[in-house]
Amino acid sequence: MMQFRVVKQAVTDLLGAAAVNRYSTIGYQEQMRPSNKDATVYVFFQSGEFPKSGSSQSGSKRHDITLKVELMVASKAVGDLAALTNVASTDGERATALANFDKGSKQADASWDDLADIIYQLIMAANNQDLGLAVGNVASRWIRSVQKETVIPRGERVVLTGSMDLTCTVEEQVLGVALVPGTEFETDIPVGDDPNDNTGVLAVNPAP
Amino acid sequence: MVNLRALAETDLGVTLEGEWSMLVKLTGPSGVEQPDIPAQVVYETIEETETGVETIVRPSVVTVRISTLVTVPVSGETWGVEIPVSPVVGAATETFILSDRPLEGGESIGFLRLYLTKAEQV
Repeated sequence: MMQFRVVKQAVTDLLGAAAVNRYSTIGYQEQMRPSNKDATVYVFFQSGEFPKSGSSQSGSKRHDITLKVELMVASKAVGDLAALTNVASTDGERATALANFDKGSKQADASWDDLADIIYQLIMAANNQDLGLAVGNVASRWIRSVQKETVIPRGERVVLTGSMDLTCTVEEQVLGVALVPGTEFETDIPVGDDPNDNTGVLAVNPAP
Repeated sequence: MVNLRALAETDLGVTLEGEWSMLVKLTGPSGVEQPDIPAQVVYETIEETETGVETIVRPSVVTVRISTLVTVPVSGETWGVEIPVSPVVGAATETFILSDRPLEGGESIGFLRLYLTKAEQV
């Protein structure tokens, strides 16, 4: 499996393990984004670049990848619903309850900021430098940007989305037709008449 | 000559308040309730078959005839809207808060479309 897929899964697992009921983690883009979940984090591979170099022609390929970490919150209006629905409430009590209700858009804005705070701290923590993978698999882990989108109504909640661009560098291996890296070499090839001078090299394509 | 706008407003008595209507209660910023307002109510959930989780993707909308109201909601105000959650007679009701999305309709057309936001106890 190519490393960009390994890293994507690692980030998904990292965020999922740290969720502690604060958000849900999904490792792909959902076509229908439900508005019944308070906070959801979507992790998916967005793009990658392969800088060309002399050594990359036959060796491993450097892959600068960008993962999209999408943050979505769905908020309700919050207030003294009990006072509003209580049949014994007076007009004044209901008016006070309504005046102190926080609209869904205000809740969504605060919730999104909280979620962005949590996710940034998790991904950029020093002990997550390798994104949960073995040392050496990931280099230059960095959250390049954060962007909040426009609040929209969806269903009975107010939904606010945004995203973070997580970049890092990995090394990709090309496994070839036989899915075996490299080429086999036989080295016991005698050169000349000296039976002890086995210095020849014969390249042999690996068996399929 | 018949004024078509006046005729259309009269027709709302059938389209909004006729046999397809449901009774809702509006509570304005002053705390005064307007109960038993006939309205068209759209409230629908979709259940995800894989997880059984209810996913609400269609907004809950209440459409009321303006001439029925004593006090008319204005965009930006905070109103409570109590609706039956099912067309079944005697169905349970739920109270929502008017969304801060701009209201649709107005005096010129005779009806007002109210979008609802789910409310949560603080």
